[in-house]
Amino acid sequence: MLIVLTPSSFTTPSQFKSHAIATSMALDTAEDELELTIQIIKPQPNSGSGPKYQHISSQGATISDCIEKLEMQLGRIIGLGHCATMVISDDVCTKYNLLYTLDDLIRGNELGTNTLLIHTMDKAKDILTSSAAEENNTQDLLMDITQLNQQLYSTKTDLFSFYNNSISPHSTAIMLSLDINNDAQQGQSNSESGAQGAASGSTSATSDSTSNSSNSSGQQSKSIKSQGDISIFVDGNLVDTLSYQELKGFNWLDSKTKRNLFKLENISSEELTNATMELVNLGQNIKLETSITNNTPLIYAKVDVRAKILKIQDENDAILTNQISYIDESIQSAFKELVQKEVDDSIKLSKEKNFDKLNFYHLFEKNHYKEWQQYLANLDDPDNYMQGIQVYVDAAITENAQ
Amino acid sequence: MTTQITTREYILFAMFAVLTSKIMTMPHVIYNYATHDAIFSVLLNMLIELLLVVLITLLIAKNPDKTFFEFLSSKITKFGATIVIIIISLYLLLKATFILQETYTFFLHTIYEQFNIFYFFVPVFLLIGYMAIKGVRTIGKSLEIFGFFVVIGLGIAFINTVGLATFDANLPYFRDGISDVFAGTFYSSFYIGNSLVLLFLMGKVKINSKITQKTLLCCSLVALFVLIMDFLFYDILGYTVIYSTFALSDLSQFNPFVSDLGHLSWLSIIVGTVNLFSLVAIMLYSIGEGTKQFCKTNTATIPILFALAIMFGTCYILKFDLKVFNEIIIDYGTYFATSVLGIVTILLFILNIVRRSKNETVTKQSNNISSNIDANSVDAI
Repeated sequence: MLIVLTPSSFTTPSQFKSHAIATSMALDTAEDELELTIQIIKPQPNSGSGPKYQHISSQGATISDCIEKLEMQLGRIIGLGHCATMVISDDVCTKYNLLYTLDDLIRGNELGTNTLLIHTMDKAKDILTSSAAEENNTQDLLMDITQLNQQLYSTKTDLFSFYNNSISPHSTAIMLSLDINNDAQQGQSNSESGAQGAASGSTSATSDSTSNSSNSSGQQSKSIKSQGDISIFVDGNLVDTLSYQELKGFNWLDSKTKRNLFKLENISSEELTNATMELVNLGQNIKLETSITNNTPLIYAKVDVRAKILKIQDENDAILTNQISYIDESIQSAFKELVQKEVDDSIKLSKEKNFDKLNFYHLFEKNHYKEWQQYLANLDDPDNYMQGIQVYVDAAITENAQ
Repeated sequence: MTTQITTREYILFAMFAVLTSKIMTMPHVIYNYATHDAIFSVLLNMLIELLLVVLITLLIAKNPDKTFFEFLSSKITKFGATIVIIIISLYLLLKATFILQETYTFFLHTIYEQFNIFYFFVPVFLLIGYMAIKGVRTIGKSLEIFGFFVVIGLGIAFINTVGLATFDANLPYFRDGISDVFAGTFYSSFYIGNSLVLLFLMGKVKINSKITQKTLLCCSLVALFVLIMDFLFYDILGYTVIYSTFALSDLSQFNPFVSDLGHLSWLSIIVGTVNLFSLVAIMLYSIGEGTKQFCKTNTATIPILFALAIMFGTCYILKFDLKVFNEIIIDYGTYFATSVLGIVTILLFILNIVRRSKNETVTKQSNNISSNIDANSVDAI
């Protein structure tokens, strides 16, 4: 290795002087062109004065065009190997097919496969610049939010997943959607990041989690808002941006989902009278059985959830201890109904918008290949395979005292 | 006194031959033809490689004092042996050239944006030329040291990626029959047959008992590892295999933990490089050994230098472009490789069978003579 690497290393000029390291990117539209903004590390003396990161923008017909102009502007080659996040505005997603737009980056092996893709209804550049203060790095903040969503709601939104899902038969890829919170905050010195779960049931109460930051000089800055919204892409085209509420049904069918809150209402049992119970999902085991009967694809989902009771509100304001388990048949029945309803709502939505978030295509293809091919052949449009799929759920809770 | 390597070193030669090139560009090439059933093409390739290893090792074990040329000359005349040696040497020369080009492209893909060809080829040629000229013991001792790093690197590569697998990404298999499997094997035939280098170790190995069993066991473990890594490659990358070129380095990028650390991918670079250089050195040595009798010289230096010149010239003509190499290999190299492998496999079978038949005939004749002597002795008494 030394023999091979040493001569080249001696004669190659230091890349510190010839390259600019991009840590994040933002893609917007500007008139009829693309506008690319990159966040680069700005070399600074040890005294640490001035901002650590620099944002520069350029417009062009393609991403490569923009990068070329940025390099001329900077006088440096832009290295994308450390670019961890890429924010894409809704305008770009609506006007362009992302498979072709991002082709420059994946085909040329420019970006890493773990680069996180983020959608925004606002200007992508604002997402990038909103937290770029002296103490904060936008990249870390966005990664924290996105990775937490990945862990909790199984929304894998990196470049590789986007491409792999888009070019596979089910064609459905997702991106986390973040927005700007226009209530500017001043003087806050800490920054928080996180995704959130929302209470569900007959009421729809949502809570926002925002991340606020300001630089040391106390200038007003916008903050990033994450509500768990997800943008759905089919074949690289944006289909819709759906709220966390609308996608809850899918979370019940995904074994990786955990820590989502759910609420059971109007529970009556021996100990409870017309009670409301809030629980948190600590993890779930999913078993999906498939069959194709009379040319109808059926999915039977057995969902076993380990849950912890967070709150019980009884009609009679009874003092309820933790010494007994309140999970009885009435709770199980209510839970099963809740899950079936939420799953039905999500499946109905996926049929309306024609996307396949959980890759049912592959599920039927691997288990019933010939019948599945026959089912597709019988359809007027094989891409509309979601229309005929029916999902039945049998859900149960196991109380976890932790 | 002929320079000899130990059985352990021989087994290392065999293991390196089985491993090299199988977890770099071969998986991508196979996928272009076999898609979802690509792993079965890999399985078939490994079985063919193991078969060659077994046949060659059997031959070596039963003929410890003869070189391959001497052995062939006694079986199929000197002229026939010359033809076979030339064909195999040419085959190994082409493979070595390809592996060298693959290594250069690997460096461009993983380390450098630009890499002056002379800064690569001159040090590499010095290295592999030295190893090949110094002979089989130098290479054997080097492999003993390299082997440790290769094992560590591959182990870490495996641990990094196994947790990302879903194990069902390519199901169902054989959805379109099994023809794709054979197509994948056929068009990747240039990647197998590395074990032909072992033919040129004939007469240079200190034979231990059970050398064949030990070699088969160790090479089977290597083949199993190749199978697992290629399975992970196809499973994790899914449909994006078409964008990938080097399985080993592309796989190591997928674990965010590794990407954050940023430097563990160097393990794959080191493993890949050591592997490739070692096998090229072995091939160069084999070419030197095989062709030195035509140069009427006792040493292989001149044939090795000549081979290096041809390798560089070939890379230069093909503009140091791996894609150009791949196109030529798919269009022409595949047929040549398949022919060579087929002929050599049949030849090895025949040589092993003919040898046993002759021994049995000799044994029967010996037994008859012995029984006649005994009978005469009894009569005499």
